[in-house]
Order: sequence, then C-alpha cells, then structure tokens
Amino acid sequence: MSQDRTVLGCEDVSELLPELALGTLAGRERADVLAHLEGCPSCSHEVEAMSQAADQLLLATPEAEPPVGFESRLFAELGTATGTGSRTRWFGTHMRTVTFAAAAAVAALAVGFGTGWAAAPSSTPQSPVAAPGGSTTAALTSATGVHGQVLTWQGWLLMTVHDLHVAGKVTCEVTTTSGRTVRVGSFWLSHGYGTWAAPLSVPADQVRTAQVVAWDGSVVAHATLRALTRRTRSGRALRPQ
Amino acid sequence: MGSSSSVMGAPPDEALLAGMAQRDDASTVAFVRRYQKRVYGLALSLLGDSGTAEEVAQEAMIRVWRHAPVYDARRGSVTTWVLTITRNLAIDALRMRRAVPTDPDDFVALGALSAERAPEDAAMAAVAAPGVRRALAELPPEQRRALVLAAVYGRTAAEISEAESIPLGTAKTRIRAAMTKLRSTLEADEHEMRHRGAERQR
Repeated sequence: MSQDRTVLGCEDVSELLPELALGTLAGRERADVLAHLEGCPSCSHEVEAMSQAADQLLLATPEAEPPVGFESRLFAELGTATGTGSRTRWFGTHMRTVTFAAAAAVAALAVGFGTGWAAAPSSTPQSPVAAPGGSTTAALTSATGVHGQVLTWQGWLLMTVHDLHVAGKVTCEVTTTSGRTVRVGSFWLSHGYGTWAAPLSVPADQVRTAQVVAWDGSVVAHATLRALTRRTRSGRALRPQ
Repeated sequence: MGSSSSVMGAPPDEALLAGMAQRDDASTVAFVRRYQKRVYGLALSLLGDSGTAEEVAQEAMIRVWRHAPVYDARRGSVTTWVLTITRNLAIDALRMRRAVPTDPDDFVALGALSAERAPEDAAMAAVAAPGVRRALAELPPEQRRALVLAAVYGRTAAEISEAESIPLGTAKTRIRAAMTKLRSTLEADEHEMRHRGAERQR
C-alpha cells in the first residue's frame, strides 16, 4: 500500500502537525505525517505537546447535572446496581472459550478470503455452513482504504486486519439493527496485522456494523455487514451473493 | 496531566478504573458518580439537547466500562480518555442525525470561559481551566472558532473552510496559529506553576 511513498521531511509536515494533533487530519496527508513521525522524535514530541494542549479544551468544559434516573439506568445497563454482573459473566465464560472452533473458523475465513468465498466441504466438523440468523460479511475500511474483512458465522465474529497501524490493544464492537453497541472482545495487532475470532452474543442477522476501536475510543476501522449466503440443501455454502 | 485523584482521601481515577476493569461494582459506582457530571456536561455543551446528551453520556460510560481493561495510562490521563470518548460519541451523534451543533462561540462563552462554577466544580477543573480560558480569550475570534471547531467538534480544515466560507489555506492557517498560541500560553502557565511550587518548597 505504501511502497511508492516518499517519507516527507520536517519542513514538509510541520504545517500539518496541528491538524494531526487535533485528530482532524485524514487520508494521504495523515499517512504521510505518520510515516514521517516514525523516524522523527522531534516532530513526535511536537505533536504530543500539541495534543496535550488540545486536551485542555475538553478538560475545561463545564459540568452539568444529568437528568433524574441517569445513574440507575446506567447501572441497570451495566448490571451493577443489582450485582448480577450479567456482562461480567458473559465475558468470564465465553471469552475463555476461544479454542479450536475459533482456530478452525479463522482458517476457513483465511481460505475464504483468498479464494473469493469458494465452497468449503460440509463433511468436516467445523466446516462453514450458514448459521441460523445468516452469515454476514463486509470489508473493513477506514479513511485510508480497506484494512481487512469481517465475517459473522455460526455465532462467531471473525476478523482479518492488515495495514492498520494502531498502537496497543484494539477492541472490536458491533452495533445491532436496534442501535445497541456490543463489545465482542479485544485483541492485539502485530505491525498492523491480525486475525481474530470471538463468539457473538447477538444473532448475526442483527449485526449491522462492526468496528475496530482504539484505546482512546476512536473508531479506526469500520464495516457495514450484509448477508453473505443462504444455506444450500447440499450444505455447501459461503458463496457470495 | 491532572486527575481528580487530588481530592484528599479519594481513590485515584486509575485505581477506580482498574477496579472497574475487574468488574468490581463498588469501583464502577464510584467512577460513574465521579464522572457523570463531566461526561454529561461535555455532551450537553456539544449537542445542546438534553435527550441526546443523556444517550451519548450513557453510551460513553458504557464504553469506558467496556474498555477499562485496555486503558493505557502512558497515553494520557483517565479524564482525557473519558472525555475524548464522550466527545467522539457526541460528534458521531451530530453527524448521524445531521443535527445542528452548538455554535462554537456559544460553546466557548457558556463553557470554557465561564467563571461561574461551584467551588467543587472549580476544584475539578482547576488544573486545566484558567490557562485555557485566558488562551481562548486572547485569540482573535476567527482563530478561536477554528480551534474550537477542530479540537472540540472534530471538524477537518476542509469542513471548517466550507462552514466558515473561507479558503482551505485560511482555515489551516487559523487552526495552526490558534494551536501555537494555545500551546505557548499553556506552557507558560506550566512553567509558572512549577516555579511557584518550587518556591513553596523552600
């Protein structure tokens, strides 16, 4: 993606540093500045200082008393007030069960991506067949282009990521057709690459979007999912519509 | 960067967040109570509508709860992190609903420049607010608008150029000039605070 890119010098990027620090630089300009920062501690320091200055604007906003019932509605949503911890239990059990099924699913996903969703044999125990609720898929994109693929399949969300240079751990979230946002899990990217799977707590056909969220809550890549396939009588599925 | 951990006897933000990451109910309750006014206040300042502001504030708190395990203290204070999440959600809400945001001049006038704070609110914002207020007040109005539009409302230079009916180069220049001024004012404040602190210790 960046093979023909020339890394710019300090003078070239200096005018763009304020916009980068404010988080409003996008596309090619953003990529060029980031490429420069990788090898320039001085400009990196400059951006860091500007970011801290910009943060002060948010810190200076006034407080306001939330409407009556705000707290109780929030605690009910988090399962906190009642101490039921419903989400806690979900994570505690399900996230640890990312085992062979996930590995098989990811392998199938990788094959599917490479071959344009060719049919996979239905005889193997983990072979991909359309799940109740249907499978969905979409390209994972950002302002700078395509960064991978998302697939929901048999109650799992599968994701491959490439060239997504985000520091630290990222979180995958899905938004349902009713507008609810559900965290699916967190994972590490290695040099911008990653392949990952986790169980979904909502039916696949209710998942409208999937997004990769960075440490600061910003959405760094996004996918709007669409139906992938219907289950065929032969059980051979995962063919694009 | 300041955190509200300076309140005597209260657990630091980082400790509450760590407890929340472990899904400890007491930490979650304490964290929500500490931050709900700030989160709702920012959402309301940006959106100007209490219903949408509540939705955004709720979602922001839920995201903080969800992402607590991946919070990285090296990348900024808890306060900045929480307010950035809130701001991003408010901007998304504005864009999704094509809603008209609060005028940036109003945001400045009602928010950052407001001197009428309750004492406890003033204590919370004491670290940040004076320098920011002065820096904003000293900026030419057109630079102030450009800075607030970019830093708070997440508008790109191209969007500011369109909204303000000015050339793109002018929008970029205003942002850059305002940012330079804000930074130098805040750095001067920081030096002064350090100097005073050193004198007190003598």
